[in-house]
Amino acid sequence: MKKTKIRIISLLVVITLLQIGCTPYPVIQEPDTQRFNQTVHSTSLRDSLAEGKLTAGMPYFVVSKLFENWTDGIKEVQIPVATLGSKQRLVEEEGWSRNYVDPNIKVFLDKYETPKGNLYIWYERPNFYTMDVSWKDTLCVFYNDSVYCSVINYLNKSTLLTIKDSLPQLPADTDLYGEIRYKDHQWREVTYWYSLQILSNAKTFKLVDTNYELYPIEFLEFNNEPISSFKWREVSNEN
Amino acid sequence: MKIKKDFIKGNKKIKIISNDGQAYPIPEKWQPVLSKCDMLVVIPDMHMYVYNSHLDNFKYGADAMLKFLNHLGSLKEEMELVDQTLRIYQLGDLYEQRFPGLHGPNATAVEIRMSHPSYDQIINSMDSVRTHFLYGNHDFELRHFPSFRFAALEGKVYIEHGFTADSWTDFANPRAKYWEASQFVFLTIREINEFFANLLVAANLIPRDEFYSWGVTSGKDPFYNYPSEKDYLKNYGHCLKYYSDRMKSNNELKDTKITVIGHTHHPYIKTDVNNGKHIFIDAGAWTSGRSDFVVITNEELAICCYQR
Repeated sequence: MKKTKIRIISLLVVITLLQIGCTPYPVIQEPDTQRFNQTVHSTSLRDSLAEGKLTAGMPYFVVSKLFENWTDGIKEVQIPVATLGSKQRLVEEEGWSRNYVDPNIKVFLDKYETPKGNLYIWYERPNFYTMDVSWKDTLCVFYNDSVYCSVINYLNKSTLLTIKDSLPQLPADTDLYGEIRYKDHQWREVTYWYSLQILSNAKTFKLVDTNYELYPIEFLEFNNEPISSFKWREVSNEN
Repeated sequence: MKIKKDFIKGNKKIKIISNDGQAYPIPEKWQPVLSKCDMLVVIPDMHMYVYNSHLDNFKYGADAMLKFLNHLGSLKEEMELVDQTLRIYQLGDLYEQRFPGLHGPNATAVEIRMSHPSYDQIINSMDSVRTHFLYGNHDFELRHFPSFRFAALEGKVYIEHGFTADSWTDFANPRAKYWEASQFVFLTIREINEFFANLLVAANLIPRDEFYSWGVTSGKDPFYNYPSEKDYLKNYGHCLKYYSDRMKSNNELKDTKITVIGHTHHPYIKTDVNNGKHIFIDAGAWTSGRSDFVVITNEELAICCYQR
């Protein structure tokens, strides 16, 4: 009886292992939608994600999740580059073959080789200067199911801006979700999103420090052509 | 400004470790010692390295550093509202680039910074509070960039990483004659270390988690103590002598009253240098379990630590 049990268990183990071995692993993983929705409130960005499209304005963690298990083609990530659109890795050398790179680099590039062609994704540390925010653009802040919008009066510095209206209903020392709606770039489908804190004067907003997982994607290129979105499910299905 | 009242402000994580927990008063006739700011905070050696490497002895202190930088950010904003300035320095050896790990000849600052979200956030937070950076012997390459300097002078306070007191035989002075050659020797030692350590791991004699290179502790256990003067003088007495002599004999910096260095990872204050004419401060380290920093106002100074 014992021997029969052992044989049955062994057979089950072998079948299970064969099953695991033959299961096709997804090379492109779906991003963490829950985390995305907690981070980004922009309707257009949420719609893009639901449709399986990677677009400018999304946080970088979407890309890193999509290609987490990508082993089919060349994958180079976090390449330090000088500007958006540049593909040249920055590296300098001195002494006995020591390499160094300017630690102040703020633009990075990911390169993925897919069956349909090469995908390039640029992302950078956001601030109000690099994101083209300016006077008369509108800042919308989301708090407690309400949206508070006001026209931007001026930029104090790259991480600080002041709006025209006072918003005393917003709490200080709390990370708030904010979006910029551009006056001069209404053709843009997506707005950029920010984590902000309001200062005690109820008019000035400070950009909260972030890390590369939340850097916005700024620019995408596929087969050397700029693209507005990358439809990952189409690539995934072909595999 | 007083350190407990105006800097610590009830933050229970911050403790003064020098002078038995009390800030040291700056002699009245020296005041003001600061010229361009009202408060000076000096962050010593951090030695950030690629996060997953066993040579990275900063990672256990990373969360505390983020909280500390948040404290500095709030303090800086509050001081600006009343037209006061907080100036922050990082003393060099921010990155571990010169004593390479085992998985490659060295790592660039960008590779280290991007090796973990917390590391990138620390650098971004340091930028946000407008930290002034010096370079040390472990990130000597950074001297090529304008935002990194060899030394700084803030009123009567001179700030430098501290490697110039070393000879080439210490493997630690990039300005010494035989430093490049000694670095090559050091790398060879590390490679030998890797070979034997891998054998020990393969033989299950040491667990992988404790697979650290010789002389590099993990930093998993925090150290908040203030080491004895005897230890400092025994191991780093040459640093004290070198900077004491410089303060005494350097006519170009004759107004300098206080020298702050790092480099040794050993916090220490001597307040009666050159018969009470100068003060010497070794800021300690924020790596290998330590989380020290120095605070100087026009009235007081102290070495503090930020507890995890």
